[in-house]
Amino acid sequence: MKYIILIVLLLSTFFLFYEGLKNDPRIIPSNLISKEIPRFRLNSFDNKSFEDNDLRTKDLKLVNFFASWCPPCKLEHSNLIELSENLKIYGIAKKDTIKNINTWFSNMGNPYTKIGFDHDGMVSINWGVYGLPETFIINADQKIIYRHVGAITKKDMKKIKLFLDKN
Amino acid sequence: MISELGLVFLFLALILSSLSFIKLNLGLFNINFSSLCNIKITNVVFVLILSSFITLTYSFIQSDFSLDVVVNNSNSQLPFIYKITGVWGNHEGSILLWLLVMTFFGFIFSKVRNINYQFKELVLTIQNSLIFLVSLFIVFTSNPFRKSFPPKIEGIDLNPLLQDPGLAIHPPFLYLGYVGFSIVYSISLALISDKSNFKFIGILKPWVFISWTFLTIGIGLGSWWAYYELGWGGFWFWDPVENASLLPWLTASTLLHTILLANNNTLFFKWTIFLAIFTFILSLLGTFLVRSGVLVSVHAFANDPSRGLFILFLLLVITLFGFTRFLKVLDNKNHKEINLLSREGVISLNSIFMLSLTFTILIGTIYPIFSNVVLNKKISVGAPFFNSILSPMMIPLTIGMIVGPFIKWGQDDLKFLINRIKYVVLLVLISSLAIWYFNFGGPILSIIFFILGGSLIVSSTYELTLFFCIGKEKVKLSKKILSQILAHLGIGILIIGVTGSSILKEEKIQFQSVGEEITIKEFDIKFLGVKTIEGENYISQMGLFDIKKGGKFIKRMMPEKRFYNSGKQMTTEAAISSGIFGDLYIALGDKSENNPDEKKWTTRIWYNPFTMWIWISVILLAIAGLISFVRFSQLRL
Repeated sequence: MKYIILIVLLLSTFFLFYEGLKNDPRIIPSNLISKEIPRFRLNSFDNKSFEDNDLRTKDLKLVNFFASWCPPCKLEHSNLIELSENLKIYGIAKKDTIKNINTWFSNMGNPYTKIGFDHDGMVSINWGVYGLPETFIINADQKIIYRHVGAITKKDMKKIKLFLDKN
Repeated sequence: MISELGLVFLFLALILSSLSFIKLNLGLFNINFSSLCNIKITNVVFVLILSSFITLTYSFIQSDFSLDVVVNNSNSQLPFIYKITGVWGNHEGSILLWLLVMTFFGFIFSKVRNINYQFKELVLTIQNSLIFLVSLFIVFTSNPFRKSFPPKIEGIDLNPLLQDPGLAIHPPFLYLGYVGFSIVYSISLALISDKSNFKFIGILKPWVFISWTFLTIGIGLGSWWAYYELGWGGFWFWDPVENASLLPWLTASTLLHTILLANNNTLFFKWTIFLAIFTFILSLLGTFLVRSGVLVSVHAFANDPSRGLFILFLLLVITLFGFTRFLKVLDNKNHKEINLLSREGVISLNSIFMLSLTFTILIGTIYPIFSNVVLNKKISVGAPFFNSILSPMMIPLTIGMIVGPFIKWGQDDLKFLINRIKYVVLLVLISSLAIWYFNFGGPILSIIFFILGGSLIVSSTYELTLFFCIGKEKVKLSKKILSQILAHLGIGILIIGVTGSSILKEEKIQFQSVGEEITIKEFDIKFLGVKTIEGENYISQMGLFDIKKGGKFIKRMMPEKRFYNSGKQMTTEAAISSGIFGDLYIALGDKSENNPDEKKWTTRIWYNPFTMWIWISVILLAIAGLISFVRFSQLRL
């Protein structure tokens, strides 16, 4: 009985390790989670403008940071098209041109409702994007509720669909 | 075809060792089947695992790309030596090497004469059970003989960072150290299984010393590799994988001291058993932290949660088994009182300091997991934390090492002690003043540590000279004293090396144009340009630097950037000019892209004072450990 503290300490350490196994230390959560979307204003694909007010609608939507020069972005493209059947996806193209994007879409289709051009990368910085692609889920209250770093693979699709269903 | 054979050997070893595991567990319920001969099992299992390992090595040499592990870690163009070291340059192969070392230690133990038969059986039952658990881990989560489908015609490559002679020998040494403590664990548990076994404590000694020696060399080699291959200008980065090797080293170093007193003092007997068990658990914990992916580390093994879960399970079984056994001994209260002013007293105090240091480093290492799980915050604990706890702890530890060897066993008298160490104190004072005077231009912290390191060197050297000129009597220098002196001398030198190369390090990072001269310390470094050369399986950009001292040319240094696999992977080969007082260290960076016409490169130049002293200290510590090993194993040299 007198060693009960030791045993509790030992077991809680093991429990800690067990829980730790579920987390990937390489994934760094966004500081923007459960915060409002940052303000921005960009030139859009259809030669108008794309700004944060376009995202302030009462539905669930995705914001996807991508570029036609980014190979992993091509990898997730078919998955984005699948997702776009059920909800709106807004794209922010980093350091990209209309011509390159057009070539890409003519081959693989366009999942985006609207695309903005982030020529100098400032909007990406404000969103805390450090690599392409990155995807954010924004809820009806215009708050960011989820962030996905890297290409959305088939495995990630399940996770994201589950998340979308819950909200 | 031959690779199937390797898997068969592995399975046979698993089945055979499971017999010992069953016997051990039945033994817990007092069911006995004594007809089982564990010594024979140990021998057969060793041969099986050795054959399995040779099979895997053969597959690597033959570039058998039907195996996943060969595809991912080798290549038909790879130089022969790296085809062999590729065997342990990956998770699966390295765990097989780990198992091989484990069976090897069991095998050697079974061959030692003069050990009571019953006792030997008991130790090997435990060792075989450990072997069974690790084999289970390999077969279920890390099978090196897994087939690649569809079969490939060419392998990817061995990580270029691992294509280096330092790293070729670092893992085997480190494993000989880590896994050596498995036999220490087995012997300790056998020792406390019955009171009548307490007297066999002497059997433990050589194993502790040899494992400690290997671990010391393994850590030293790893650190040396990091120093010249990573191109970061340092030798220790407090990475989780480094801490994982330091923790068992610290407890093992404490164990080296307590075990000498364990024969006739129950308190030290308990300390010894505790430390022996704990050291092996820390070795396993290190494996868990590095292989499961719970922490971010430079050792980026492909992480797999199922592996992590299995190691965690192993760790839990081995910890619970070890400590529940240990708690029984803890109740034995009749031990002798220890005087604070005695050698035993100093060793006790130092053990407490060492253990506190171990726990603090342990907490620092696993705190990111705690923070992630409990506070839901991702943080990492870096060098400032570890340095700031290490510095104050080193002060009492070093003073203990300076004074300790002059204090008598049993009980000492302060008056006699002062008389005995008056010359030491005088020498220490003189050397301290000298260090203060020549302080190498460093801050107060560096002066304190130079004085501590210097004093330890002085007192150890004084102790050594005592044996050569003690009046007319010729005193024989025993192995015991010699290894103690060499080890303490090593630590003194290590303190100076670490202090110099961390606190007094000078660093210059800049864009350097061709023809431009940079001055660091008393060296003028002129950049002559970059040329491209071709190696066996890489292309290298080699920077040329002329080093001048006081206007006189000394030597040309040529750091490289090597591109492997048609430029996909790059390694830095720093150019290091080592000297007894410091290393000049140059690493070549990228070409400036701002203006393509400008011939400017990033160059990183360091002056690392006393770094060579670190490598010298590792050699001294290893020699000291070997001397003790020879003494306790009663080898005749």
